Amino acid sequence: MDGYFAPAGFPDSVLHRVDPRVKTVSILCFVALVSTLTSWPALLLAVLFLILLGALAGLSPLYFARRAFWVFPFAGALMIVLPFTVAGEIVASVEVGRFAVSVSKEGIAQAFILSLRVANAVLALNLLTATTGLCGLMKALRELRVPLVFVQLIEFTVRYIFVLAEEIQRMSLARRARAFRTGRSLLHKRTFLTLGQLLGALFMRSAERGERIYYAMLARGLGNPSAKKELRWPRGGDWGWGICITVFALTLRLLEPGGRLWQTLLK
Amino acid sequence: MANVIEVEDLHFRYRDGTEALKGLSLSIQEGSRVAILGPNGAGKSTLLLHLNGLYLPARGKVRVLGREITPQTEKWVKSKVGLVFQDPDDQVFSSSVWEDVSFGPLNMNLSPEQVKARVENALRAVQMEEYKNKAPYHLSYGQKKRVAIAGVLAMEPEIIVLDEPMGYLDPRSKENLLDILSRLHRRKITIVIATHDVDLAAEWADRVIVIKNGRTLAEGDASLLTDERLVREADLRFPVVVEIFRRLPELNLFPLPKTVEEAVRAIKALQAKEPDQRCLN
Repeated sequence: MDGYFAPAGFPDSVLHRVDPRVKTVSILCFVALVSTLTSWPALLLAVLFLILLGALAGLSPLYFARRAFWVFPFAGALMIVLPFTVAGEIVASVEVGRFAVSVSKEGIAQAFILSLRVANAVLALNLLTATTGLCGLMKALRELRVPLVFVQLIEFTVRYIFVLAEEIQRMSLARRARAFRTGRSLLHKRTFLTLGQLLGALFMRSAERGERIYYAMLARGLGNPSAKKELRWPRGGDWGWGICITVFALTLRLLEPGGRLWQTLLK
Repeated sequence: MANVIEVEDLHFRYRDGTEALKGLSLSIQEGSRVAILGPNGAGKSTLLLHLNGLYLPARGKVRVLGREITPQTEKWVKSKVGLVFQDPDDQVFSSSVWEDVSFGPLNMNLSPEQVKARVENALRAVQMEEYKNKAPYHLSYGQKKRVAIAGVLAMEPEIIVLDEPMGYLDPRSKENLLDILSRLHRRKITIVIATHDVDLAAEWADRVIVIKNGRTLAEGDASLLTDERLVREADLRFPVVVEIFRRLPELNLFPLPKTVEEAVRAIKALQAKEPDQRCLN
C-alpha cells in the first residue's frame, strides 16, 4: 500500500513534467469523452493510446494490470451479470432443475463494451496519479479551485487510512490477547457483536481524533490563508500534451458515428 | 525577569458539565523551563489549550506577553505560543513533511520566501531536513514527533508548550527531544511541558507547578518534589533519586538530591568526608 500514492515509472519523463493542472483536466476530458464511445474498435484504440502514453512514462502494461485488479471487485460483478440479464439472441443456456439461465449475444457485447470503458477510465486515472503523485494532484485540484473541503477530504483519507488501519489492528490484537476468536461467519452472534463494538469504538475514536486534529490545526492558526500560487503558469509543452490527449479522445468520439455511417452505407 | 504567561482564577467547564478548571492561577517567567505536573484529569491539557487561545476563559484571565487573551487577541497568541500535541498523528496531517511544517507560516500569511526560510530553519532545528519530501506515514513515531515540533517552531513562537512530550518515545528519541528542548532554551524560548513524569520534571525543569482538580496546589522550584505532603496530595510519587535518599535518613542530607547529577555530587562529598568507609558496599 505504501507506494500507492507516490509517482511511478521514469521519474522525469515528459508526462511527469507536464503541468499537473493541464494533465488533470485533459485526462478527465479524455475519460468523459471515451466513456460515451459505443463501438469496441474505438474503445480499443483508446486503450492502446493510454498504454502507449504509459510506455512513454515508463509504466509497463503489467503495472496497469496490477492496479486494475483492485477495480475488479466493483466493476467485475456487473461484467459477469450482464451476459445473463440482457435480453437477446441466446448463445448458451444452463438448466439446473426448474431454473434456467441463458447467455445472450447482446449481453456479452454489452459486457465487453463496459469492460473496455472501465479499462479506459482506470488506465487514464492511473496514468494521471502515477505521473503526478498525490502531492502534485492535490496542488492541481486546489489551484483548479476545487472546493477546499473536497481536497482536504482526499488528503485526510490518505493521511489517516494508515493510522486507522493500525488502530484496527491494535484493537483486534488486544481482543485476541484476551482469547477472542472470530466465529465461522458473521451470523455467529458473539463475533457479530464484538465486531460491531469494534467498529463502534473505531468510529468514536475517529471522531475524537478528528476533533484533536482540528484543534491542532487551529493551534497553528488555521484560517483562510490567502490563495497561494504554488505552481507556475503552464508552458507551451504542457498545453501541447493536454491538447493532444483531449483531441485524441474527441477525434474518436466524432469519428465513431461517422464510422458507423460508413458501415451502414457499405452494406 | 518578566512574566510571559499569567493565569488568574481560570475556570472552565466542558459541555458535558465536567468542571476541568476551578480557579487556577499561575505565572511563568520569561526564558524558564516549566513542568506542569498533575495526575490524569487534573486539568493539564485544558490549561494548555487556554495558553494558545484555543479555549477562551469562561471566567478569569489569561495574559500572554502582557496581553489578555480575548476573541480579538486569540489569533495573535497562536503565533506567540506554539502548542505541541501529545500524539503527533493528531498534529501532522499533511501529505508531506514540508507541507505540514509550512502549514503554520502559511496561515500567518508570510511571503513564499519567508515560509521557505522558516520551514528550512525549523526542519534543521529538529534534524529532519533530509525527510522534507517524505510522507508522514513513512516516519517513525519519534520522527513524527520531531516534525510536529518543527511545525510549531516554524511559526517562531516565544513560548513553546508541549503536552506529555515524552509519551511513547523510546530512550533514544527521548534523548533527542531533550537535546532539542535545551537548544530552544538556549535561544531564550520559554518552554512549558505538561506531564506526570516526575523524574523528567526533577531532571529538566527549573520551575515546577503542581495542579490537581483544576486548581494550583503549589508553584516553586524542583525541590517541591521532595515535599512529602505535596507529593501525596497531588497523587504523584517522588522522583527515583529522591526516593533513594529519603530511605537513607542517616546520611543527613539536606536538601535531598533530586537529579542524578546532584546525587553523584552528594555521594562524592560523603566519600570525601569518610575515606575509611570507601569500601562499604
